[in-house]
Parts: sequence; C-alpha cells; structure tokens
Amino acid sequence: MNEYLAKSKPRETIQEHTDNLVKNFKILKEIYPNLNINWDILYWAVIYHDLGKMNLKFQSKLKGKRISGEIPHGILSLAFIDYEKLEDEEYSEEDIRVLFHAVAYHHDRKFDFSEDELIDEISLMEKEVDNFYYDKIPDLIINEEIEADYFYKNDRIFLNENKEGLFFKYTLIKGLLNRLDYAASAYIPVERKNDFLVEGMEKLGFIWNDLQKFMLKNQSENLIVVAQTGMGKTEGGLLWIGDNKGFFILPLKTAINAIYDRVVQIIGNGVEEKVGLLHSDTYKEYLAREKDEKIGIDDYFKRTKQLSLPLTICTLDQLFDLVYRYPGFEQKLATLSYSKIVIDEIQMYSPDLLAYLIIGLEYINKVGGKFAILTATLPGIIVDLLKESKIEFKMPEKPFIDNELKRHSVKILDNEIDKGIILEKYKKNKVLIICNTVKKAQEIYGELKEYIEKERLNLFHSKYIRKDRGEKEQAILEIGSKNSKEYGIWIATQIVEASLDIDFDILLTELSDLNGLFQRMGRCYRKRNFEGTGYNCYVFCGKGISGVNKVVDKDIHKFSKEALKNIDGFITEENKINMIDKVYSTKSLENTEYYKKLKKSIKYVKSFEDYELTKSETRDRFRNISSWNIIPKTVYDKNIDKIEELMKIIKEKHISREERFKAKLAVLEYTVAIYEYDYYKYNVEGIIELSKYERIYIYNCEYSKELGFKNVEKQEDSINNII
Amino acid sequence: MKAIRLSLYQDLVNYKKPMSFQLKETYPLPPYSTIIGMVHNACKFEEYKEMDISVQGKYFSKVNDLYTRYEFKNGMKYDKTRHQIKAGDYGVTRGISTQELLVDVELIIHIVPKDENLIDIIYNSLKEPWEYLSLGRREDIVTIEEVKIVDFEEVEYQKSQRYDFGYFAYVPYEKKDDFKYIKNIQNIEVEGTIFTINKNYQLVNYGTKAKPKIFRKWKKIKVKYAEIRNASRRKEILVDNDGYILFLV
Repeated sequence: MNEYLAKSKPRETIQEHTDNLVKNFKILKEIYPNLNINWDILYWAVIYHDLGKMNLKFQSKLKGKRISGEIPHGILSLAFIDYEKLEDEEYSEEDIRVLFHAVAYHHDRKFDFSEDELIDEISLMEKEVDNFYYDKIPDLIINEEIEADYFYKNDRIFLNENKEGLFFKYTLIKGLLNRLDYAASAYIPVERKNDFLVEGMEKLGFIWNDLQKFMLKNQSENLIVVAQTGMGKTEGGLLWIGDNKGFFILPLKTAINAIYDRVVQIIGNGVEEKVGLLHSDTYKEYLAREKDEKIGIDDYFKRTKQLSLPLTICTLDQLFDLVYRYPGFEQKLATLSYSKIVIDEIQMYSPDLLAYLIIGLEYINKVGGKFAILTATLPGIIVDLLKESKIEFKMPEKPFIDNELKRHSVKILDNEIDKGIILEKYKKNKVLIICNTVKKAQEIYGELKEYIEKERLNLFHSKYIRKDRGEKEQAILEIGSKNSKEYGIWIATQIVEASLDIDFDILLTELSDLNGLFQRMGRCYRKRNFEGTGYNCYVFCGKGISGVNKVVDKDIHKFSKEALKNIDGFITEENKINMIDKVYSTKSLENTEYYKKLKKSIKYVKSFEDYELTKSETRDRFRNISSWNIIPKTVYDKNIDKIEELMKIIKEKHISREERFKAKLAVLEYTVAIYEYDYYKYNVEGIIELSKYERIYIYNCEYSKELGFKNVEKQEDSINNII
Repeated sequence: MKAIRLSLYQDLVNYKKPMSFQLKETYPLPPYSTIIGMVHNACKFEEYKEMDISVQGKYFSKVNDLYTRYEFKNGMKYDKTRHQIKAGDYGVTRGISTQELLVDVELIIHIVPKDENLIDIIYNSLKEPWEYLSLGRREDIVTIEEVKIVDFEEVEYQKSQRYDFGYFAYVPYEKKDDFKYIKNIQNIEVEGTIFTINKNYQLVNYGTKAKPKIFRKWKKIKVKYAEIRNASRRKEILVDNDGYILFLV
C-alpha cells in the first residue's frame, strides 16, 4: 500500500480527509434529513471527489516538487466514478450527470489541457489504483475515459429556462460538497443544530403581541410584514425562525452589532457555537467582545465565515452576491435552501441592492429556502416585483401598528433651515437637526457657534476619523437616552437615521424622501406621547435644501414633498404607512429614474452568463462604492510616533494574527473614508501600506475633531504641476 | 452496406447560399445538391439517381474577396449608356462585388446510391473523371486525396466514442441528439447552427400544357452544423470500416 496524501499541512491521506467529509455528511443528514436533494448522490460525490489526487504530479507537488502539466484533480477523480454500477442501481442519468459535474467543479480551475493529455494522465493512474485501498469503496475501478454523456471538457450545466431543475439540483449538490469539504479541511463541524432558540425565547417570559403571534403561527410561510418600529420585530423574526437555521439580514453594521448583542442575551451561554455576526468587520467585533473569556476567536471566525452556525446576522452583500452566479456561489445558495431568512429595514436599500434582493429571493425560493421581510415601511414596488418573479408569500391583512401613541406633531416649512428658527425652538431642549449633506451640516454648525455654548453644540456625520466618530456616537447615545436629563443641539446627517437608539425632544430636518423622513422622526419621541402643544417635528422643504438629486432621487423627493403638502399637526403611524404606500407604489414610481434603475439592475445582473464573473469581479460590482481610506495630514503629524510604532508591529513577521490585527485596527482608528468625488490625487502626501491590498493615503485636507473632514479645494499651482 | 468515400481538398472556395447577392455568402460545407450535381456530372447521368450523402470537414479560415459580377434582367434590351456587354439584342452590366471564400477546405464525403449497381460506376467515374471535378463555383477545382469503396454498418456503442478528427458536419436534425458537440466557446454555450439545405429537385409545371412555366421544386433538409465531439452511447450510429461516421441524408 502506498500513502496518497490529500494535503500536506497538516499531513493527511486521501482516505483520512474523505472520512472527515463523511463524518460531516452524517452530521448534515442528521440535522437536515428533509433536504431536497438525493443524499446518495451527495455521498458518492464525497467519496469520489478527491481520488484524482492519487496522480503522481499532485503527490509530488505536496512534497514540494511541482511538475508541469498537472491536470486539476477534480477532473481526474471522474475517471473513478463507477457509473455503470450506479446505472444498474437505477440512479437516473440526470443524477449521475450532477454527480460528475459536482466532482469536476468542486474546485473551479482553468482547463488548459487537451483531451489526449487527460487520457494519458488517467492511464498513468491505473498503476496507482493497485496501491490504493479505501474501505468505503473496496471494489474501486478506473475507467479508461470519462464518459462523455456525463462530462466532457468544458461541459457545464447552465441556468437555462428549460432545464432550471437540473441547474438547481447541481447547484445544491456542488454547494454542499464544497461546504463539507471546507468544513473537513478546517476541522469544524459543517452544521450545528439549532436547539436553543425556542427555549431561549420562552425563557424571556414575554407575552407575545399580535405581530409576534402572527410570526409564530406562520413559521412555514414566506412572509411580508409591515410593523411599526418598537413592535418587537426582532423577537418576531426570531420566533419565526424557531429551531431552524436562520439568517438575519440588515443593511448597517451598527444595526447588526446591536441585534447580535441582543440575541446573545437571549440565548445565554455557548454563544460561539450558536450565533455569529457576519460583515466586513466580523473579526474586529469578535475581538472587541472577547474581553472576559477566551472563546477561541479563530475557530469562531471560521465557523461564522463558513456559515455553519445556526444563526447568523449579516449584511446583504455577504449572501446575496450569489445573484451573479460566480464560480463558488453554489455554497451560499445550497445553505440558504434549508434556511430561513429574515430581512429587516428593506427601505434602506438603494435600487441596485433592491435588485439583488429580489433576484436573490427568487433563486432562494426556487431551492426551497424561506424568507420573511419585516419592515416598518414597505414600498409597494417591492411587493409588485416579487409577484412578477412568481414568488409566493403571505401578507397579513393589516400592518401591525400602534395608533394609541401620538408621537409626532409635524410642521412643514417651505424654506431652508436657518439659525433663527433653531434658536427660537431650542429653549434648553434636546434638539436634533438633520441635514442631507455633510457640507450643510458643517455650515449650520458654523452659524450657530456664536450663539450656543460649546459643550451644548455638537456635530455628527460620517466624515470623522473612526476614533472621533466612535466618541461622538457614544456622546449622542448618552444624551439621546431616555433617562438623560441633559440638553443641547446635535447637528447630524442621515447616519443617525437608522438603528441608533436615541430620543430627542425636537427634530428639525431637511426633507430627503418620505422613508428617510419617517426614519428621522423615529429619533424624536421614540416611544412616548407628545403631550405638548404646537409641534415637535419641523420639516424643511424649501428651495435651498441640500443634497437633492445627489443623496436622494429628485422625483421621489418631489413626490414626498407633494404627499406632505396638507400635513399640519399630529400624524399617526397609519397615516405614515398610507403615505408611503402612495409615494412608493409602482404606479407612482413607474416613470422615475429610481424605478428605471431598479429594473435595469435586475436585467443587468441576469444578463451575465453563469460562472462568467469571478468572485472578485462580483465583489466590485456588488457594492458599487469606491471610497478611499485616508488619514488627514494634521492627524498623521500629531500621531506620527504612535502610527509608526503600530506599523512596525504590522510588518513584524513572527507575531500572532490577533496581535497584528489589533495593530491594524489601531491604525485604522485614525482614518476616515472619503468618496471618489471628494478625492483629489494631488492632495495625497504619502501612502501607508497595511498589506499588499490595503492602502491608506496621508491626505492634505482640513480636519478638526469639531468639524470633521473638509476637502481643500483644488490649488492653482498643484493643477499646473499636473499639467 | 457500401458507400463511396471521397477525401477532398480545396484551397479557396465558395458554396453559395441562395439569394445572397450583395455579398455572395458561402455555406461552411458544400450543400447536398452541389455534391449530387458534381457526382452526376462526373458520371454523365442525364437524370436524377437517388442517393444519400454525408458530408463533414473543416476549413482554416474565411476571407472576403472581389469578383466580377454580370447583371442582367429578363428581356432588357442593350443600351450602350448603361450596359458594358452586348449579348445578341440584350445588355449585360459588368461590375464588381464581394464574395466570401473558405480557405484550405478538407472534406470527407460519403455517397450511397439507392441502386447498389451504381457503386462501381460512380467509383470509376470519380477515380478517372472525364474532366476536372469542381465543387462550388465552376472554377473551384477539387484535389482528390482519395476515392474508396467502403463498408459501413450500424453500431451501438456501450461507451461514448470520441471522434477526434475535429470535423464539423451537417447532422440531420432528427439525429442531433445522437452526438455531442464541442459547443463551448469561452464558456458560453453555443448550440450549433441550423440550416435548411437543398438536396434534389423535381420540375413542376406552374403554367399550362400549351404555355409551360417550369420551375424546380427543391427538397429541403433541416440539419445542424457543429463540430462533432463524440458519438453517444446506446444510439444507432453509422460507421465505416475506417471509423468515419456517416451522417446520411
């Protein structure tokens, strides 16, 4: 017997590695016995997938000597599949084809070999088979050629309207094979059973309200539910998921972190086996929460990344990039086929992300996954598009709202925000001013500076370095908490719109669109009755308001303004929902840029051929945001010693991943992300390289903790230099 | 069963698609009618002898080139201001136009006459033709690499059989699923091209007996044109004793 290795670090034979997959296969089958797949085919895929590693070129590579002309082992593995036996056992030809393709593409490699080379390589392996014994296939055979009915070079199963069933069948088997393979390689179980959520929810001892009862009753349905903020949507979502695999999708990282912490409280101990949070800063968040106990961060991180935890709270882009069907997307879709997905705050998504959401739900629905859209405001356009995609779902007859509370009395003003009205309304209240753009917010701050004491006047927007932003966030949360007796003025942008749990007395805001407005109103009289006379929300719709057409679609802005025309005084939750219905219905939006963009995005995504884009190309398209991480020059100069010290740690080779990561985070604390249109090349004074792919620019600009980032306008002589 | 197999080579050739005038287009392989015409001419047959044809092959590239075009209209009298050539009383315009030409064409053609007695006649006529053979335009002379009488039979493979000549073929549409094709170009699936190709015709009189108006009525065959990768297993495939598949029409 010869020893044939599957991997060298750590050293493991093909048999050992395959046994690990079989172990995971059993776990998966035990937890989800009702998966809509042919389990035998998945089993055979597991057994055969790495046998092609038996070839001597691969074995030599593992021993450190690379021989040219290696053929991807996935293809060579196909020669071992005893299809005649499978046919005799009456597996359908379609199933066997799926098996071949799943094994062939379990790594997606370029096929730069000729068919003759393939046949030669297969014949070379014939000698090796005699030296190979595996108890799970005692009568191992090797075919001379790969049967072309099942696979031939460059053969692919595509998503084709007539053969949709085949495509999804293949996608599930291939995706699950990948999951089993990666889990086996990382030595983590592929899935964990969710057996704690129902119990944890019961332990809370709450009496469920109508919304939550509805969610419980309809656990097996796709749902679209409109419920006002504060009705316990998170609990509702968790109740709907029950003891199943679940994903909670939210648009903002801060919201994800908050919900994660809440879920952690509900489920108690053993968090690292039960729930994960997944967004671009997962590692950082885990580090921050590791304070008290060692939870084995690296393994926890792996489990989260591989989607093997029962509950995952994540951003849309972590899962829904699968709509581009890049090589490797199969894992995600396969996982979602037995998952329940809760989608919150749907109104926050831009048209292109909405397009991804709709296509994603279409695919997920086809493979058997379930979804629940839980939202405070539901643009009618989404319901129509889902119907158009032939997705079935259930909607309660009425939205869940609490009309008892009278939270907001609204005054619409046909001018722009100025210091006069702010000073008039201030009267030692907690005043929140929300502008559409950073620039406007900075301007207003400047105007008010002379009149208000410094400690009482604050500015908050996205263009602070992380360190300052964190402090600002803490400060606004403090003053915004129910129990705080402080007062003062906060000027902010839409970054406070969602998921910051703050409660102010008076809101003055520029109109963005209706959705945004109601979100902003949620930061004022959050859960209490407005008992005073007059107004607590002032909405400015006049000519000079900022950001129209830049941060908000101009048609939607116009419709929103029209809808608000006759509003004066109290506005109930029902009013709000009706207004949203009107403004965001398909009928009203049909001719807007917004709708065209949405439809175009859907078409654009679908126009890609399957496997056409690579994963990284998908990434680029998915979040169409180009931003630069910069350190303002002044900040850099002030902290130069500290930063250089940190850079030394990052460049140090013999240091743990955790240490290095912490150092990197510390450097990033000095950065602010600016967008493409704010970025001038000639303002760059230097570059810090965190890694080959991560760069930070030292940038010449105005920066203060008070005002934040401000670009230095183009300078004559620098322009001349360029020319 | 017996067939005559022809291996041919042509260097620059146009198998004209009917009704292409501005640019004289070419089929990728000679149509059945053209091949049948060549055989009949070689054998000096004066009437149609029924025969089945299989054609496969490949070409290296395709170029466009100019040619002299003669245009005339039924009954158009000669007019020296507009015609370059006088043909009797009639006028002909001479000008140039563009045509497509296939470069370095390799062909394998099987001929199976319905009447087996014709095998030898056809074989001899092709072996020693009375004039040069041309396929395509009159000037598209063929180089005959081989003429051979071959046996062929119907076989059912238990495993798919690779066909590694790299030949494209006209596959009768109803048999298209008996084969697999090399159909991925940069991972985009192409299914092949469907043609309807003329085979033989009957003369049909659309006029009266006294005033006949006789036209050709063509029998048209629907085929799929694609590069053959392999013959599928468990299908009835026609193969000759040198391993060439016959796609008979």
